[in-house]
Formats: sequence, structure tokens, C-alpha cells
Amino acid sequence: MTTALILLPLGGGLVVWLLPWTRFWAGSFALLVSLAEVGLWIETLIRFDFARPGLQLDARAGWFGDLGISYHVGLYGFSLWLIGMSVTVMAASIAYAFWTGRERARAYFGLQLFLTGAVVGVFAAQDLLLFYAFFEAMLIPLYVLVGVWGGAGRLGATLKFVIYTMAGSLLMLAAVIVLGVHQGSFDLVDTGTSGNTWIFLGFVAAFAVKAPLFPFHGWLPDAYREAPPEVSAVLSGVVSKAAVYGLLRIAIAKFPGPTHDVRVPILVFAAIGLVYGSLVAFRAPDVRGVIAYSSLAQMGLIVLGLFAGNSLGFDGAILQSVNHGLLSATLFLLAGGIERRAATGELSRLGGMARGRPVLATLLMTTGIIALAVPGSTAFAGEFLILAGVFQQGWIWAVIGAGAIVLAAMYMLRLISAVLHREVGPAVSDSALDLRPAELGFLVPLVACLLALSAWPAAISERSFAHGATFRVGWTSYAPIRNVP
Amino acid sequence: MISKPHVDWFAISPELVLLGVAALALFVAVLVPRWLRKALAAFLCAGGFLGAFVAAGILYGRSAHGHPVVADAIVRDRFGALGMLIVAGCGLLAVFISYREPVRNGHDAEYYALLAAAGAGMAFFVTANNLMTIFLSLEWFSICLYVLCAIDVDLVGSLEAGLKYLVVGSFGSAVLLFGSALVYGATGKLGLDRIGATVSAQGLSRDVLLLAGLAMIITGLGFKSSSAPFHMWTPDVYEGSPTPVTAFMSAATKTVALVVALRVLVSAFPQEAHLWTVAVAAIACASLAIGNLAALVQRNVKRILAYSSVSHAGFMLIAVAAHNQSGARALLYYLVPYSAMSLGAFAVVAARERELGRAVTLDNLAGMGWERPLLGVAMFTFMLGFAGFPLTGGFFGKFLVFSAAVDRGWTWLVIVGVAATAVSLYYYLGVVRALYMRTGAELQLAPAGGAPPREALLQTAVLGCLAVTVASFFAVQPLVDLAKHAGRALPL
Amino acid sequence: MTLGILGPEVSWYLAVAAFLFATGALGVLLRRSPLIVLLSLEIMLNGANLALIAFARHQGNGAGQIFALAVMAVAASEVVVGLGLIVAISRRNLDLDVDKLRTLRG
Repeated sequence: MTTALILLPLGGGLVVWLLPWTRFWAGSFALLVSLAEVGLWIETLIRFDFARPGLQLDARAGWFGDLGISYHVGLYGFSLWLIGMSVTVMAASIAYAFWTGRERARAYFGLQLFLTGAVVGVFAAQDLLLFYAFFEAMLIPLYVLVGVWGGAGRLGATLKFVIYTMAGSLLMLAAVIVLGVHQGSFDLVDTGTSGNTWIFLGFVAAFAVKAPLFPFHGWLPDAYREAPPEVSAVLSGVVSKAAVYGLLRIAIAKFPGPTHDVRVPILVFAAIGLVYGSLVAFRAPDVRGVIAYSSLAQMGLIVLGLFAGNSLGFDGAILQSVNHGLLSATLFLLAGGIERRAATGELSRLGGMARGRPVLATLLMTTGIIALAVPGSTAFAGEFLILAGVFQQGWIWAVIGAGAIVLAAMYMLRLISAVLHREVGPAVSDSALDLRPAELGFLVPLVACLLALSAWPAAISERSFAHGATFRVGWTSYAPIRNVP
Repeated sequence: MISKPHVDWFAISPELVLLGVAALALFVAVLVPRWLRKALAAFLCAGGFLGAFVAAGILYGRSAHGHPVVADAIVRDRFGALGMLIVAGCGLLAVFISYREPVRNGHDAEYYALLAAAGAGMAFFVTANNLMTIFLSLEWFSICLYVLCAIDVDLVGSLEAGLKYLVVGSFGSAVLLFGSALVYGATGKLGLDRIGATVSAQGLSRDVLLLAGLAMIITGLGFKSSSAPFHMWTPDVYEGSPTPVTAFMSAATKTVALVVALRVLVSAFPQEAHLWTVAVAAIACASLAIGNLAALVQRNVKRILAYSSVSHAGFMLIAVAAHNQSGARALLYYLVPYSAMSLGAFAVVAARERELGRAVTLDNLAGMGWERPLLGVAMFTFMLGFAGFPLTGGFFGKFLVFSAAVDRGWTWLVIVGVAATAVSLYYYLGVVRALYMRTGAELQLAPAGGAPPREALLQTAVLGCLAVTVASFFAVQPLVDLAKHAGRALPL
Repeated sequence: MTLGILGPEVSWYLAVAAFLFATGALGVLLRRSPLIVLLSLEIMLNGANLALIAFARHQGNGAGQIFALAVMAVAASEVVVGLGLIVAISRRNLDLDVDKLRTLRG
């Protein structure tokens, strides 16, 4: 089942790329495959038993027995939710690309599907080396997608992106080799924990770059600005969650001692990232800049939750990861729509788009209000859980987090007002249409997911870590993680 | 009455097949009508390499217990047989790549004769078991390669490359020879295992003659494997030679030079391991540093690949320096995807060169990925493989090399290797950038005119290289088994 | 061990051989004319040959002498190829100076 989830998009990507489709057929086939992937995920969701702890729906095959490397995939509750978010966002992204009609469609959609497979692989891998392979395999399509279909500054942006990411990845590779060779096996389930702080830091560095966490975010603004909007959506919505997953599944679960020792510096960086990202987002001159830096802030918040080290924090981090994935994807796709209409994303040249464009205004308002964590929204639930969790580490973290949420409200409201309200900006012409039905086709499901989660956030927060998750206080309680060997 | 040694003909069957083919091709060059020469000679040559491949495969299967044959001049073991397999595979692909190469003066049959003869010399080299056969087979394939580099006598660059390679190559051989003479003087033996036995029996491991000889042998082999600081001929010769010859040289010569370096060092000089492992590690670091840094500033794609081959010599020398079974395994495994990627990358360059009619630079590579989908994707994969990305065998190559260094306890070598990989990304991705992210229209591009010829053979070769590169990632275990069994033939 | 060599010790032979080798090496590195460079290569090989023969006598086995014979044959073929290349180059441009062979930068 899990293997099917990985192979379906990979195979679909290969078919799209190899067969001589026209642009329309390549796009529609890719969309079909991505929707089938969502369907497959729903089927997986039905089969998944949330009450049972431990790995489920796993599959294993020999690969490189000499070094104890095998193809081993399987799902936990939280990986299932992250996969669900990813396939949904990927489907929306493919739909957006199909609607805008990307050049060189076969290569484009082939790479998008390949990326989908790699992302699902990352969330399902239960072997360190397999995880690394999928983690790197994600980078290849992203590199090409940004480098070929990106904006004018794409070459510099991709170079920065790849150099940052590879620097982190190579550290992780060294860590993987040393850890695996010492333990004699690369399997994540079979092997025990390790107390080596250096190996731990190697992993954390890779995930901190990918997330990105403050001070490793140098690639973020360029990549998010220069990428096509739907690729930015994937980058911030999906790819950054691979880092969350890695931190949770490998760094925290495999290195309890170092996690405990190093948690304070990581919490400090996360808090700085949270505040810094929020402040820069407030000052960012363009739509995508706001979303990009708000992503940085949100990742800081999620990491606060992860390193709170209790089940409140973990549950909140997973819920917030799903929330942020859906939110930033929606926002980036909306930003893409706005840029298509106004030919610019600069806030100073936008404005007044609400007039005569009720659908756009409604969707942007809804998303923005969920994003600023209005009580009752799913983002509020996630952030509340995280803050409650991190409060147990020290009240100061919760205060910083709460302050940042106020900042989030400020930059979101600024974004909404700069785009929708005020006087009509110079770049906004009257002929710019409201959202088309096709655009609603991929935006409404995303917003609907968000609204559904707002109604029932416990769907995720109570089902990420198998039951047995007791709400204990204090660092030593690894209650949820205990079920993750 | 001179006693004749018993000759194990089967052990030298790959060489015999290739030599026979070389002789036949020479006959083709004079006896067969002109229009048929090229096709027939190429066919013979390809058949010869295929035959050698099969023979080497059977030899691998039937040489589980290595032993010296033919008066101990050569050794029949899986280690040598695997080397022969790689050489024969490279030769076969090189024939495919060469077929459409425009040789201006019609010496096609001679070209294939020399290629087969060079292959035979390499096959002999990897099984050579004493210093004399090592020197002779080294010269055997080197002289063939000198002529191959200069085969395009109307082209100034090609002649110059040939002469340069001859001068530097012979210099390296002379150093190797003098070193062999010194080792012979110290021990009175030429056979590799006898040298090792004599050294340990007579306690010669601190002997000045022996150590000087060892240093000179390492230097001589360093020239052939183009590792820094003995690499200075590499970029020039790679750039000037006809590209198919470069492809063959970069893959096969490096393979045999490294394989023989490992054999000589571990079977003749196990007593001095504490010295030569450090020396080899130093050479490896120098190659990694110089190869990667020099490649950063190149524009000519052949020169980039030349420096990249210097840096890969560095990676593989890490495996030699590890001086353990996992090092031998890593080296032999790494050679397979490396050879495939190197041949394939040069094949793509050759295709582009024929299309444009001039040297391939990063500028006129622009847009090729979209114009030639197969070649573009292949080149993309080879570059990722060189950089050690997963989904290519290059990843496990580096992985095994690094774990061999960890086994040895030299984690610092891993750090050097990782840093070198990070630097190398810049120029490998530079090639990818040129292939895909700029369009030909943005840059001045002067095609030679007309549609490029359909190069079915070259594309087959590239496809083969691509298949090996990717398959060595997924089927890593069977390949590592091959390498492991081969490595067991060495006294490690 | 030694078979009673009349005349100098083996170390003298080695000294001469090393001197020849070094002379040749310097010639290859410093001289410009390809002809002289080829000549220097030969001197290097002959230095090694002398060492081989002296050691063969010193060690009392014939292997070194056989090796030296083989080296002579190899050296001859190397020279043939080298001279052939030089002739081909000189047919194209009469100026024989390795420093001016600069189409490929070194």
C-alpha cells in the first residue's frame, strides 16, 4: 500500500515524460495521476488503524544487505497526515500548472510527479539511507523546476538553493554513514538510539537548511520569489515539512540525549526565526515576500513545538505542519493568480482588488484569517497546542510565541489590505478578472480542507501519535515518541 | 634444453582475442576495399571486445582461487578478471562512440586495430604479476594510446596531444621503470608476492633502495591514473585528442592504473603499508583539491571533465589508501559507475562536437538538453552521478569509499571528500545549467549546418552508460558481491 | 651473493645509473626541442637499464638482464612513435619548439 503510494506518481511521471503527449494531454494525465494519488491516500487513511501503536502498512525488501540497507517503508499516524497534506498540495500545484499551461509540459509534469513520489518516499522511509535517497531525490526535480520555469533571477536563486541544501545534505550524509556503520544497520525501526551529539547536529543541520530555520534561511527569499508560484507552494508547503518529519523521526526519536542537551540553543534559534520572520514579513515589499518570511516564522513555531518535547508540542507541531502546508500553498497559488492579473507582486502597486472581484476577495480573506490564527481556526488550534507545549519548557518561549502570533496578525492584515483594499493600485486594471472557475477548482478544495480542519482539528492532533499518548509534563516524557522506535 | 613454462591459455584468452582482432583489423586496413574497411574493422573490434568481455566473465567465474600462471608472470584471479571485464566493456562502448567520428584521412581500420591492441595491453596489465610484465603491458597499451591520441594527423591539437602524452607518459613509465630497478636491486626479485616475501624474510622494510623504488613506482602509476600532482598532462591531452579516444582513456586507463596500483601496493609492499597509505592519502587529497578547484574556472567541457577525472582519481585513491577489504571493494565497485559515467559524458560531448563542428564549451552547450532529449537527460544523470547524488551509482561509490575510510579510522579523509564533493557540485551543476536553463537562442550558436546525423550507435552507447549508471544504484548488492569476491583475491 | 665482480662495487653502477636518469629527467623537463626531449627520455630508460643489469649481476640472477632487453625493445618502439609524431608535426609547421606548441595551453 505504502509502496503503491510511492510508485504511482513515479510511474506516472515516467509515463508523462516518455510518451509523446501534447501539452493538454500531458497536463491532464498528470492531474489525473495526482488525483488518483489523493484517492489512494484516502484509501490508506481508511485502512489505517489509529488506535494501534507502531509502524503500519509497512513493506520491506532487501537492497544492500552487506551494509544493512534495505527498502523499508511504512507509516505512522503523523506521517500519514503529512503525506495527505503533501499529495493534496501537489495535486493543487499540478492543477495550477495545468491551468496556466507550462511550456515543455512533458518534462514539467513528469518532474512534478517525480517530486510527489519522492516526497511521499521521504515521509514513508524507515531506512536511513532510503530516507537520504528520497530526500536528495526531492532536490533534483525542484532544482530543475525552479531553474527552468522560474523567473528572471532563477539561476542565482537555484544556485543558492542547491548550495545551501547540499551543504546540509552532505553533513547529513556523513552523519548517516557514521551512524549506520557504527550500528551495523541503517534501519530506523530496528536500531536503537544514539547519544552522539555530533551526528545529531549533522542531521539537524540538514533539516534546518531544508526547513529553513533561522540562520540557514539565506536561500529562502530568492527561491520563493523566483520559482513559479505553484513550485513555491510546494517548496514552502511540502518540502519544508520533510524537514519537520526528519527532525521528529530521526533527530528527536533517535537522539534523545543530544535532543535534551541541545534543545535550548535550538529553541532560541527557532524563537529568533519566529520573531525575525514575522518582522521581515511585515516589511516585505511584495506578496510572495510576505508569504516567504511568514513561512520562516511558521517553521520556527513548528520547531518550538517539536523541541517542547511533550505530546502537546508534538501534536501541535504536526497539526500546524499540515495547516501551514495547506495555508502557504493556498496563499502562493493566490499570489500566482494575483501576479497573473497585475503582472507584479509589489504591494505598493497593488490594491483595491476586492472591488468587483468578490470570489478572490472571499478566498484571500478566508485564508488570511485562518493564517492569522483567529480563535476557532485550525491554525489557532495548532498554535495553541504548540504554545501550551512549549510553556512547559519555560514561560518565556510561550510569551515569545504569543507575541509572534500578534505579529502574524499584523502582516496578514497588511497583506490583505494592501491587495484587496485601499485605493486601486497602478498595476491593477479594471479588466483584470475575478478568479476563474478553473482556479476555484484547485483553490476551493484547499480552503475546504482548512475549514474542515478548523471544525475538527482533533482529527489530526489526536490521531498523529498512537493512543497511549499520555499528557505528561516534563522533558523525560517521550510518550508519543515511545511508540516510534 | 630450455624448459618451457606451462601456459594457461585460458587465463590470457581475453588478451588473445583482442590481439587477434587487432591483427585482423590491420589486414582489413590493407586488403579490403576502402568502402568496407571502416564497417568491417569496427565490427571486428566490437566483436573482439565482446569476446573479451565474455571470456573475462567466464574467467571470473572459474578463478575463485587466484594463482599465478605462466611462470608467475601473470596471475589468474577474480581481481584481474573484473578489471578485464571493465576494460572490455569500456572498449565495446568506445567502438560505438567512435564509429561516426570523422577521421579525416581514412585510417579507420588502423584506429580500431590500435583500440583493440590497447584493450589487450590493458587486460594484460591488470593481471600482470611481476614488475617486468607490469612495465611491458603498461608500455604496450600506452604506445597504442599515444598513436590513438594523434590519429587525426590533420588536426594540430590532436598531434600535439599525442606528443604531449608521449613525453609525459614515457616520463612516468621511466620513473616506474627506475623504481622497479631499485626494488629489484633491494630484493633481487621481480614477482610481486616474492618481493613481499623477501622483504619480510630479510627485514628490508627500512631499506633505502626499496623505499625509493616504492616511491618511484607510486609516482609512475600516479602519472597513468592522472592523480595530482602528476596530472598536468590530463586536461591538455583530453582536450586535444579525438573525443572517443578521450572517452576510452578516461575510463579504461584510469581503471587499470588504479587496479594495478592497488595490486602492486598490497601484494608487494604490505610491510611498508604504514608509509604508502599516508603517501596515497596525500595524493588523494591533492587530487581532490586540485581537480575540483581547477575545474571551477574551465569553460571547455572536455577540460571540465578532465579535471573531474583528476578529482575522481582522488576519491578512488582514498579507497586504495584505506588498505582494507572494504577499500578494495569500494574501488572495484566505484570503477563500474565511474567508467560508465565518464564514457557517457564524453560520448555526449562527442555528439555535440560533431553537431557544431567545433570544441564544446559551456556556452555552446546551451539548450542542448531540450534539443536532444536523450543525450540531455543522460548528461544530466552523469553529472549528478559524478557529484554523488542518489539514484546513480556514483552515490554508492562515494558511500563505500567513505565507509572504507571510516573502517580504516581516517575520518578526516571523509571530511576532505565531503568538502570536495560540495565544491564539485558547482561545476557539475554548471553543465546542467548550460544544458537546460539557458536556451540556445539566448546565446550565439553556430550549428554546422543541416540536420545532425542520426547517431544510432552513439545513442546506444549513451543509453548503455545511462543504464549502467542507474542500475549500479538499484542493483548495488550484486555488483558489490562481484567486487567483494574480486577483492578477496588480494592479500588484505 | 655477488659472483665476484671484478671492478667497482654495485653502488658505483647505481650512482652512474642515477646520474643518467637525473640527466634525462632534467632534459625532459628543461629542453625545448622535441628531438632532445625524446633523446632525454631514452637516457632515462638507459639509466634504468644500467641499474637493472648491475643489480642482476649483484643479485646473481638473470631476471634483470631479461628485463633490460625487453626495455630496449620498448624504448625503440616508443622512439618510433615519438619520431613519427615529430615528423608529422614538422610537416605541418616547420618550427620545432615545444614552447611554441601552444594551441593547447599547458
